[in-house]
Amino acid sequence: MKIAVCIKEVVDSRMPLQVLRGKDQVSQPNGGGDPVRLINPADRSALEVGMGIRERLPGVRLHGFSTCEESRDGPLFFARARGADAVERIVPPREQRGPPATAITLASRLREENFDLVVCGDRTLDNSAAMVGPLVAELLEIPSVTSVSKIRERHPDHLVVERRLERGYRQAVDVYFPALITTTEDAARPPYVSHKRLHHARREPIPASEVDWNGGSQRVPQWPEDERMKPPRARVKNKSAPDSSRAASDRLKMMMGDLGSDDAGGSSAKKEEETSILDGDPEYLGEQLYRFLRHHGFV
Amino acid sequence: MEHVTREILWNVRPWMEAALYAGTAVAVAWSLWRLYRRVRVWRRGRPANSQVSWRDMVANVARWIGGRGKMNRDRYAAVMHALILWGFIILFIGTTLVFLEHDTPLHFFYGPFYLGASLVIDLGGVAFLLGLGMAVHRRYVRRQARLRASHWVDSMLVLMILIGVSGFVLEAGRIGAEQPAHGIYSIVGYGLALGLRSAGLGTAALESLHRVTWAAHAALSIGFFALATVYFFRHAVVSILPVALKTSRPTGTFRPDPEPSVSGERPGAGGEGAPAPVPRSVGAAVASFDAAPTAGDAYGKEHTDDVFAGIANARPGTVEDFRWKDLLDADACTQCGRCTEVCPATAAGKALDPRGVMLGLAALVDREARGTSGNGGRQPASLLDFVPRQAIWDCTTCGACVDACPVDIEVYDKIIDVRRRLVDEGQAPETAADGLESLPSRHNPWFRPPHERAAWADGLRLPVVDESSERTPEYVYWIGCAGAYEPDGQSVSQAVVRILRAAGVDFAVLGCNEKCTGDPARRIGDEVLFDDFRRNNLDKLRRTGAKKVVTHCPHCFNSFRNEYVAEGEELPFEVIHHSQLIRELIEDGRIHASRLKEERITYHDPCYLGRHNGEYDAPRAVLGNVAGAQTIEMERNQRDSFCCGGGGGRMWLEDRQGERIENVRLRQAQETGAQTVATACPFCKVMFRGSSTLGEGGEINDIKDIAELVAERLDR
Repeated sequence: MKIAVCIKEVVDSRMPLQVLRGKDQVSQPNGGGDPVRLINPADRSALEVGMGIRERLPGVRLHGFSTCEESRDGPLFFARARGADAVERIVPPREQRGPPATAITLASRLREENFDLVVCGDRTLDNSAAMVGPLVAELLEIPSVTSVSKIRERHPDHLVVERRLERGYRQAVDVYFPALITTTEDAARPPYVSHKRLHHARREPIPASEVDWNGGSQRVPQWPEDERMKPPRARVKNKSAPDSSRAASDRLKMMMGDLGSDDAGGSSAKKEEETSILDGDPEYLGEQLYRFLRHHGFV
Repeated sequence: MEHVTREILWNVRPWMEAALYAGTAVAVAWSLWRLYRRVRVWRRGRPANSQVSWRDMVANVARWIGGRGKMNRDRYAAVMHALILWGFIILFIGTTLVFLEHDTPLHFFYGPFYLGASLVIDLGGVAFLLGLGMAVHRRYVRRQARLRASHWVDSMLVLMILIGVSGFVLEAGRIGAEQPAHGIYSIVGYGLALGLRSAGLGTAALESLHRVTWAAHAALSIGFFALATVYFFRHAVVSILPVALKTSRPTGTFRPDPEPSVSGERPGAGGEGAPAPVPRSVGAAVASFDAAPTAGDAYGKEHTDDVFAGIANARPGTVEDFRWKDLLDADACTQCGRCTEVCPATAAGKALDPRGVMLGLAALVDREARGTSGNGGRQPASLLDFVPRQAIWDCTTCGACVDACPVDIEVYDKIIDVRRRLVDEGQAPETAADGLESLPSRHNPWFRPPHERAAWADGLRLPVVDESSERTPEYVYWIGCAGAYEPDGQSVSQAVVRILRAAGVDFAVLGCNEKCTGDPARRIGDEVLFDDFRRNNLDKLRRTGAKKVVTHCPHCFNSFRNEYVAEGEELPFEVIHHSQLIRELIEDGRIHASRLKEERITYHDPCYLGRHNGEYDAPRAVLGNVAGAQTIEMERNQRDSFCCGGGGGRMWLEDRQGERIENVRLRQAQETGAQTVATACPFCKVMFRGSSTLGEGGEINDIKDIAELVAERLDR
């Protein structure tokens, strides 16, 4: 059995960032230096899910993949240190950005070896599009299960996984191989990997490969320029209900009015306007944001 | 004068003499063979990586035998052991002299030498029995709490007492039967002989008594030789070795990690860099005198956790994970329990028992020496078969155990090596792992953003060290992570700045360029991560041209002073604790903490400032110059101080068992009647501030750093 795990390095967007004027760079404020980079938490969880299967089923081999520049291959060293049997960096195609390009790149490489299971993080910290996994599954023509929060059972030919749904519902899904699953950040608690292991893993470079996009004929959806999204119409409800994506405690507070009327449910009318979704490296996003703010006279 | 002697082996039949020699030879050979089996296990350990010259070894032993070692901290035990040791040595020399006279061409045992030797040997016997009497009194009458009941100890005492008593009785039998003119020189035997004669025993009866007691004495002595390297008896032979091998390494300096032990790509499965698997015989334990104690016996506390449940192949804590010196230390442990007596974790009811760790290690050596492995041979034996895993994480590395050990065993080195292996195998506790995860990316162990490192100084307009500037400030003020991020530490940093400014000290900070010293990584067990920080920080401080670095954090202080450069090397700058600098500023009259504020204060010695770096006076001198401060010492102070519970990475570990250590310490502080606990460490302050005991009973209402006490009394 062969498992592929797709991982990526991201900027920790949970911390404040600033665009350096005139340098096209993003940094932490107050001279904090370069932004903190880390393995995308959901990808790290995906790696751990894969390792969990590998350690419990005999004869399983785990391969780690990342589509990234050479300077961003830290997650692959991490995967090697964690115990992946093989890791590989896939050179990203030039001038192609965004989840579709990433998905096509990964799928082109994964298609070369018939992996029984592909595990991806369900979303990244930097754009949270949650698209790469399903796109890869579509391109590989295998079933996919998104947002897996727990592996209940591991069998040589299938898994029983759990998805956490709205309002506390949990869905158990039998996933027969070959398949792709995307995991949430909390699907597995990754152990600490010591720096001794990381240094050990860095003794050899990460092998890199370039993929052929089916002779260049693969159509890549444009991203992000052609993507447009409209917010939902304001709908009149008889009774306002808290946003179901909130935690139970927050929903209770909303109903009790603790969080103010602005947060009380999804019924508030919002001004309809076009929303552009941008995708790309943080530097790129920071630059776009800076131009937007400058264009509108905010800075 | 040649007639002034005695017939050696008088009244002893030839077959008895032959049996004595044969028995002794067999017993000694058996003992040596058992010792050899253990030495073979010691040799499987890693290199000790510490060089001790012969001269140092001799000096160490001389200091110890001369009574200047740590044995003296318990006077009764010191006198008792000295009497037994010196008595035994004298008796052993006496027996050797007799052997040389009888079995070699040498002829010297007559005349004044014989008389003098007889007197000294008898006095040696008296000392021997007196020491044993004190041991009996201590163990069975006084019942000293730290001593463990053990049938091995009981049997050793009984055996040695019987040897001593039988020696005097057979001497009395000989003197009583022979009635030599010079018999009085054997004063004890002579006195006993007079008593036996006056009791009505005739010459024939005394000869019979002599023969029987000689046989008994010989048999007991043979038994003693046979048991000399077994279990508790072994410490009498081996304990001198760790004393001799003691290095000059400060106690706050952890040994560097031995050569990389990463076990390949799959944890624990072997691979490049992994220790070679050691063939082990598998089978039932051999019934023997040194039958390995059970886990509960060895550790002293029952534990049943199957520590390897669910962990594939990982087996930290095997013999190969320790250094040979550690394995020797385990065999040298005297089981005196001084380490356990002073351990704050043990006092708080936690799983850790330092003596139990050493006995567990000895049991591991024992199991390996007998060729049986753990889990029926499926896996190698591990220290964690004998010691609960939680105990490994309970250690605060305060160093009290090392300081207390009379034979210089470095207990927590063993614990740290197991931690390192656990961390390598991905088995660090979750909270500790969080701290370690935070370090490489955020440069602090609290997952706080790096750009907030200087937030504590908002509005203070502090000068920041500029690497490009040619001007170097006199002092670089190293804030430390606690001083930068923890509110209780930030107030200390701000107080230090007030003091430095009031004194007109030329200083600057590193601002957001400062990073953790790596101390938490080293205490928790990621040695390579610590080394990354060490090199990075040294490089940065070198580039700033700093000549003096002052810090208020004893952990940073200890890292810089003891762990940033190898033994014998010199730091490129002087590192000063803020208590030392403040004392200097006060003594020079540059600051005056003279604004009166009445306060009863008790000072808590931080382990990494006091015990590990010997700085007890500076903080007390500062407090002595604080207006209105009435200082009261806690019962456990200075060298005997009690940890706050935050050292050794415990700040990032959860309390799973027993009481919180800081609560125990705070109650000790409350007993003094003080209103304020002063300390000189932000970790201690954070721990005490978080204690549930604060505000409950006693009059203590605040925890302050000495800098805060000074700053709030500055008159300018």
